[in-house]
Amino acid sequence: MTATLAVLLLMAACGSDTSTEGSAPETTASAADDAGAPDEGDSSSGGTLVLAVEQWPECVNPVTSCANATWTIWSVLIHYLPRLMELDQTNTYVASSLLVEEPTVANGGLVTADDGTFMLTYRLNPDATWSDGTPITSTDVWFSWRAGLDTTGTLSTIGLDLITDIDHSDPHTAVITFSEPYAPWPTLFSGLLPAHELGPDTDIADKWNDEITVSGGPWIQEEWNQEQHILVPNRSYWDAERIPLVDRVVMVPRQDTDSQLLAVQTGEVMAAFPQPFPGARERITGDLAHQVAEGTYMEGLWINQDAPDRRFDMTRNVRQAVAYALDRERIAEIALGTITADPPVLQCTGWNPGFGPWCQDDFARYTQDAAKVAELLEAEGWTRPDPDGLWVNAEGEELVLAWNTVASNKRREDVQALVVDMTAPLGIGWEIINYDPGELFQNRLPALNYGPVALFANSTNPDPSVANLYDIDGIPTEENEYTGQNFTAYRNQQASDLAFAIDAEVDPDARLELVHELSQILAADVPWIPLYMLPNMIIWDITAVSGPGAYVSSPYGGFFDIFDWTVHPN
Amino acid sequence: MTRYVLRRIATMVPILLAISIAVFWAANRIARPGGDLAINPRVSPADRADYFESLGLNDPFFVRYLSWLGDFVRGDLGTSLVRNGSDVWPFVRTALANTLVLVSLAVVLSLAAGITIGAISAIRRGSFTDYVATTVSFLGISIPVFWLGLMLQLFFGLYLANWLGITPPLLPTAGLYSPGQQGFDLVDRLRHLVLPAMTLSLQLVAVYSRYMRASLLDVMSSDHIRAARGRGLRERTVVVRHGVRNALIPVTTQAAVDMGQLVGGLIVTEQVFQYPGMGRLFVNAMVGGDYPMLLATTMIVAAAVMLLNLAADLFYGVLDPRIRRGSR
Repeated sequence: MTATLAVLLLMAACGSDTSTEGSAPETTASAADDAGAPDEGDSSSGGTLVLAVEQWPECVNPVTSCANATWTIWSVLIHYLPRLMELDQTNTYVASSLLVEEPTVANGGLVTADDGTFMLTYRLNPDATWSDGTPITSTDVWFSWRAGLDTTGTLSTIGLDLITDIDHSDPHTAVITFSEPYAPWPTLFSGLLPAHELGPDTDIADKWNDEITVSGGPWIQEEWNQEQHILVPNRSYWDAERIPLVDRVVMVPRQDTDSQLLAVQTGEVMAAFPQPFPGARERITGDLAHQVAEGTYMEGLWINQDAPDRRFDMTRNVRQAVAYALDRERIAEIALGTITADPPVLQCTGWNPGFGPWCQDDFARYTQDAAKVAELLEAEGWTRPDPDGLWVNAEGEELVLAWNTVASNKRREDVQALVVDMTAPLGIGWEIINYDPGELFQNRLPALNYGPVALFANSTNPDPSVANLYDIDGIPTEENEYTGQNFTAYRNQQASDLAFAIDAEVDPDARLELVHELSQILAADVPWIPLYMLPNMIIWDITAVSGPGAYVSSPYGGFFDIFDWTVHPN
Repeated sequence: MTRYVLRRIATMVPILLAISIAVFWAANRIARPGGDLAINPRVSPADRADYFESLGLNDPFFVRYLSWLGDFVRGDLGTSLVRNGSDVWPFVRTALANTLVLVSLAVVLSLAAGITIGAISAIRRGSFTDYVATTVSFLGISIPVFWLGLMLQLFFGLYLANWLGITPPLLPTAGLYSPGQQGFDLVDRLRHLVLPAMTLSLQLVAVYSRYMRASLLDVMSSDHIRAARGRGLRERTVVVRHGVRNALIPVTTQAAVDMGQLVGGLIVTEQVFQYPGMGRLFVNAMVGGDYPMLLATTMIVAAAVMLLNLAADLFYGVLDPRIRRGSR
């Protein structure tokens, strides 16, 4: 499954390091002692763990559209398919137990040749086997690459299409040759496929649609249908630290937050990983624990510089003025205050990982400042004839911005109402026009027919690959049939070049410098105004289960480590 | 009669065609499978184009519609766009069976309770019992289904279980069967039907009891009831044999019409109770832009509504000879 799973994990992507200052997970007092490692005092191994799953996969093929859902990864694939590199609890890529060591420049695992090609060498753990006893070999790496490219309806070939060859002559060594340096290499091969089970045809569109027949993970699939998913331990799993402690896991669909909360409250399930919901802090009481940590999506204001309905150019000064007109701490409080205490303001640039070394406080300069707003606008000829009114430009246009978001999304509509009140005294007005999700995301956004301002969330990536978003040639236009993904129509050649350079720089330190350089440019140009990271949340019944909470922020989802969970005897 | 039935069935064809075009248009307008890929920077434009091509989504609207229609008239409901080419029919068949079980149970229970309550209310017109029944009926009709469902879930799933100190609760609040259940267990299935059936029934009981009350009052004041009493029949015989029997006609025809509508109208109840029926299938298909699935569910529901309406009309004629004579 390779790139598809990698892409989906990235889509699901990533929350913050839970140990990062300002983003520490919040756990309810009753659960504080229960989070993390199993409590040996009141729990035991064995038993059945019952979990609620929010979005039920329609099918589970790891390469095709079936996998076009985060929950397909979280509830199914992540538990069966082995990875070469994997994210640890700080969302940093490390070698999985399938590898003998992580490929580095020092150990010869990463080599950029004089002809510009890039060679990546994986040394596989000889003890690793599929659940049917077949060894996991470099042929599986080769097969996963080919299946990612050859399968009808494959979801993504990004990265895989740069591979020119995989030498799998040695079963325990896979030597991958790329046509050019490819820095996001750890995101590839995040779900290996068994060649002996699925091959020899590398188009696997018709296979594994409703059943994962062989596992290379801690679990074996006993049953999967539209009503339940049953996992049993893979007792022959080579990673002894991840042999499951319970006898069976049953996942059942509960497709809204109220249903999930009720299911945990009634004891019908033991844990749920719902979307954070307003009032969570008050509603989760009694024997229930919950843990909240920065999660997979960042929300912010997108500024469309090519908005067809704009009344004036969205110049850099105007964009900066808008950023200085906002009290983002207050916005974060209104949006997330009932879910988590003191929600932090996001200070990273759009799409960069919102955690770890990638994220710097480049946007911290933007605090509400009326003087700055006036200075920036006056520099471009805006005036404010009525001191209590709106700014007006030389053509007589008032500074009123059309603003779109998803209709009936209470959090975002609350933010809109707050911002309207917040910026009125500073002379900036808004015209709120909201749409249903399909209209906004499938019709208007790809065609740059929005705004000039829109509020919505986007996933962040564990890997800082952002070339598509800031590529000048990727601005959607009629000429390119609106296939580009530079959705802010941001034109800065230096930023565009840097974004591509980040993808080609395999030296981690040099890459980090490039990321920071790009971040500073983006903070100055303000194509996007970050507001906050949407939190992830896990809820569990402390009388029934021990162990949840360690992977709340992970792109692998809060159920990733169920192999470490235990259920309490009745 | 046969010509009448055939004529009614023939009129269904253009209606179904119109419905299919409308649904097809709406489905394409609202969502398309993988539409969110357009804003995913990790999926390249080329991959996206290939993906849509593999689903046949690059063809013009009417080409796709006519392709679907051609399959449909040949009895092929098509393949799902989001289930990787799986046939639609098995999913629809399962959902339809689940919904029919729920609807049938709810309608049967509602008819039994509604007819009884309505009859008692009519016979004891103006009594305390009548006032209570009438008031409760008003409440039953007024309560939104989603609210009632949630209240039943909270009461039986949470509060009652807490008071009794029972975990898990006596009545499950969601799903088709208990987590981990493998194989068919009738008792377990029935337990999971209780709350959704109760939710549906409470509203239907209110409707049927009011129908029954009004109908029985009307019948009991008619000439043939006076004639029956004049012949010296016992009041019990008059009420049951001549009153209730005739009063049942509008209630049962209404039930037949309700059955048709409920087959596709359980969206709220099925969502609240996470019940895997036609309503939930419809919602998931709509959200995912899976128009073959959407069209299959819609056409089946539309056909069911029309056929059951026809059945209701025919049934009415069977029960009331005056109507049968009038149709000649």
